[in-house]
Amino acid sequence: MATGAVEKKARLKRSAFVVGFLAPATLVYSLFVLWPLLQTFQLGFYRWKGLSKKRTYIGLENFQSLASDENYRGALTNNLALLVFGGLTLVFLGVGIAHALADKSRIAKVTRALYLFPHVASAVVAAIIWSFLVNPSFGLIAKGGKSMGLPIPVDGILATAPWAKATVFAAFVWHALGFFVMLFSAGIESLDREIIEASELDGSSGMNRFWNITWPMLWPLKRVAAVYAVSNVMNLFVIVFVLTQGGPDGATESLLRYLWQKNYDGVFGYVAAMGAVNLVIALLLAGVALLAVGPNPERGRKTGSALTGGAA
Amino acid sequence: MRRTQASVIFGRVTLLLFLATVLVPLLWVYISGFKSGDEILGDPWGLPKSPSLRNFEVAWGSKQYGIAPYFVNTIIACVGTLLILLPVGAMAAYVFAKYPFKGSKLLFTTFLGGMMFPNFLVIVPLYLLLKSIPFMDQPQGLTGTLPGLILVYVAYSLSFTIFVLTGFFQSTPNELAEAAMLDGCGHLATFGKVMLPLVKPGIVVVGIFNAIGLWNEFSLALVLFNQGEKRTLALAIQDMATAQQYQSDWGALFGGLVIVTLPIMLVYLMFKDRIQEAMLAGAIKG
Repeated sequence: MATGAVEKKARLKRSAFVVGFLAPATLVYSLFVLWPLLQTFQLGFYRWKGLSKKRTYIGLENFQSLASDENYRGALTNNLALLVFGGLTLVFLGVGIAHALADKSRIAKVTRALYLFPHVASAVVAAIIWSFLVNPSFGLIAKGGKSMGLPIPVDGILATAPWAKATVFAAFVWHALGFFVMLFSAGIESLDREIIEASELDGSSGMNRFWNITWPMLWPLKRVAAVYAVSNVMNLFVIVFVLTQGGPDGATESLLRYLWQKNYDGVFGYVAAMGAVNLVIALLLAGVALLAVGPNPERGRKTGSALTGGAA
Repeated sequence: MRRTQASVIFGRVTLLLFLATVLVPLLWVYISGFKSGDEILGDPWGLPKSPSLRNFEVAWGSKQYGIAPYFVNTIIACVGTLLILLPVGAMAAYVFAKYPFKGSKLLFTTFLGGMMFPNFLVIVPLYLLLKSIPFMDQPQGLTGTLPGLILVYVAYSLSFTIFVLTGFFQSTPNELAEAAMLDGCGHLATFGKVMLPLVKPGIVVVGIFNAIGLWNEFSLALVLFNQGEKRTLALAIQDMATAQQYQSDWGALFGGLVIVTLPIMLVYLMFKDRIQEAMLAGAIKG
C-alpha cells in the first residue's frame, strides 16, 4: 500500500515536470505558428476585405479565381523555372566545388574559410549588393560590362526583362550556393575513405572515380539538397522585393512577392487561399524533387543507373 | 594522391573562380565604403584616393537616415529572443530526449514541421493575431512593438532549436541523471545542475546560429515591426537602399551596408566551425 502511494506520488511528480517543461514552448508555438497556419487554410474560404469585420463564406471562389489569375500563374512559372535551373545549378556547382575543396592546397584552405560569407550575410544584403552591381550609374557589372563591350541594355539592367531575370537568378545562386557547397563538403568528408582509396589503387582516373563512386555515394545528401532547393525557391521573396518588385511587367514576379502585393490590396481571404495553395505546391514539389533524386543506388545494383537518376 | 594533373588544375581553377565570385562583390562594397560619392560614380573599379570614414559616420548617425536606432532595436530583438528561446527550447528538448510519454513523438514531429514551411505564408492571420493581443493600451496591440516581435521570433525559432538540442540531450548518459535522482535531486535540480551544463556546447551552437538568423531576418519584421523608428536593421538598410536612389548619397549607402554586415562577418570568422556544425545538424535530419 505504502509503496504504491510513493510510486503514485513519484509518477505524479514526473508528469508535473513533463507538463511544466513542455508548456511554454507548446503554448508559444501553438499560438504563433500552428494557429495562424490553421487560419490560413480556413480564411481561404471567405471573402474578407480590408478593415471590415465582415467575413462571408464563399466556398471555393478564392481558389477558382486563383486558378485563373494570370499574374499568379506567371509567378508560379517563374518559381518553377528557378527551381529547375537554379536547383540544378546549385546541386551541380555545389557538388563540383565541394569535390574541388577536398584538397590540401592553399587555395582550398582560403576558400573553405570564406565561402559562406554571402550566405551568412543574408538575402537582403545579397539583393542590395546585386542591385548595386547592376546599377547603371556606378555598378561594377553595368558600367564595367559596358566598358568591356558587353551589350548592356540602355534602359538599365533591371528594366529589361531577360537581364532582370538573370540578375535575380545570379543573386539567388550567389546567396544560396555556399550552403550547398557546405552540405556536399560534409558528405564528401564522411564518405568511406577505404572505398575511395581502393579505387585509387585500381588506377581509376579522377573523373571516373567521381562519377562511379563519389556521386552515387552522395545520395542521402542529394535528397537533403533537393528539399532545400525547393524550400529556397518557394521562400524567394526578399531578393525579388529588393531588386525588381517583380518587374519589369511581372517578368521576375515570385509567388511570395505577389502574395505580399495582394496583401496590400487588402483582399485577405484571397491572400490566405494563396498561402494555402503555395504550401500544398511546396510539399508536392518536395515530393517530386525526391523522386527526381531517385532510389538509393547503394541498395540494389551498384552505380550505372545512379548516374542519370541523380539529376535533381 | 593520384589525381591526374589535369583534374587537379581544373579543380583549382574552379576554386579560384568561385572564390572570386564570392569575394569581388563583397570587397567592392567594403572598398567603396571608403570612397567619396564622386569616386563611386566616376571610378567604380578604382581604389579610394583618400580613404575617409565620412560614409560610416553619415550612415550611422545622420538625422535623415542614420541607422543607429535600428541597430539598437535589432540587438534588443536578438538578445531578447535568445533569452527566452534558449531556456524554453532547452526545457522542451530535455523532455523530448529523456522523458518519453504517449504522444511525445507526435508532438516532436509537430514542432519539427515548422522548420520547412515558409513563415511568410501565414502573415495575414499572424498580423491580425498580434494586433488583437492588447498591449499597453496601444491601438495596434503587439504589432510594431519589440515584445511582439520577440515572441514571434521565439515561436519561429523553436523548431530548429528544439531539434538540435534534443540531439544533444539524447547523447548525454542516462546514468548521470539517475545518479543525481538517487542523491535526492528532484527532476528540476537534475536538469539545472547536471544535465544542462552537459549540453553547453549545443546551447552555444544554436545560440550563435539563431543570432545570425535573427540579425538577418527580414520577412517577419517587414510585416510586424515596420513603423517609423520601430524597425530592424535589415528593414532600415533596405529602405535606405531605395530612398537613397533619390538622395544620391551613394557613399553613405555603401557605408551602411558595411556596418550591417560587419558584425555578422566577425561572428562568422570567430565561430565558423560551430556555425557549420549547426547548419548541418539542422539540414541532415533525414
